[in-house]
Amino acid sequence: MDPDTPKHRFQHRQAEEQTSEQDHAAQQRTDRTFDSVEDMLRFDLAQTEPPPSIAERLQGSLQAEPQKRPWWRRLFKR
Amino acid sequence: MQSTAVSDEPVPVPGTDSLQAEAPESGKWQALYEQYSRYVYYLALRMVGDSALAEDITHDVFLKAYHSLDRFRGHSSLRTWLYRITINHCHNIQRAWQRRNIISTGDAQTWDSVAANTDSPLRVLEIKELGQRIQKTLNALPDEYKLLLLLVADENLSYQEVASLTDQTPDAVRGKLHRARRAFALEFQKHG
Repeated sequence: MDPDTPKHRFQHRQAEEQTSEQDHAAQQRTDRTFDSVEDMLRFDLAQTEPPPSIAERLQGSLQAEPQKRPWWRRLFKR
Repeated sequence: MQSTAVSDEPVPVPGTDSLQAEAPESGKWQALYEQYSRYVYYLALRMVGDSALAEDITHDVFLKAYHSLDRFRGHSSLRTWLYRITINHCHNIQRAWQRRNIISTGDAQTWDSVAANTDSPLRVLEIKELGQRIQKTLNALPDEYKLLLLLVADENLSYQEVASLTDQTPDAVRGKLHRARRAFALEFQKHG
């Protein structure tokens, strides 16, 4: 297929325009206005997930611990 | 022994008294972690500005909570108690780091003289990079302002609780918060 035919050039231009419009739309979607600093930080907090590796590591650390007894059992320990 | 106004006896707190006897792998510990880990991690992350360090801090905070839950007297909420452990841990790490490195983030007085319009909304074009921009902004602020803004951003905390966590009066919190917002807005614009 000849890439320089008018039909092909038209399709190529159309595709470029579509991509440009999509980029613009994506950029529009990421625009955001926050009323206050707190609002922005709340949004940031909501977007921030603690990595799952912490829970796994913590589980390992806790399982290595001797099991805790209730404080009243320790208090009345003979 | 005579009774005193402030008792040393642990005060059972709904939801935490039974946790003391729970095995670490129990569902209650998991629920505690799931409820608060995001807040602890976020506070640590934005205070120290390093994700690996924030992971270590979050791990250590919950491990410490597990060890000292029987000393939790219920004078504050569990959330506030976890925040206090997190703040202390972050401060210890920051102090150790500052002893090795000379850093300056400017003091509060520097920002007091700066005029910035905090009433106008903060507009962000790229949400993807928002976290980095917030971190850069917070890093440039005095630690006191940074901590106040992060605590007030948690809607579950009252001004009274923020004041208690930062060892000052609620009125002082309100006054400093006003200056902290102004400093943040100004610095945030610089990193745009």
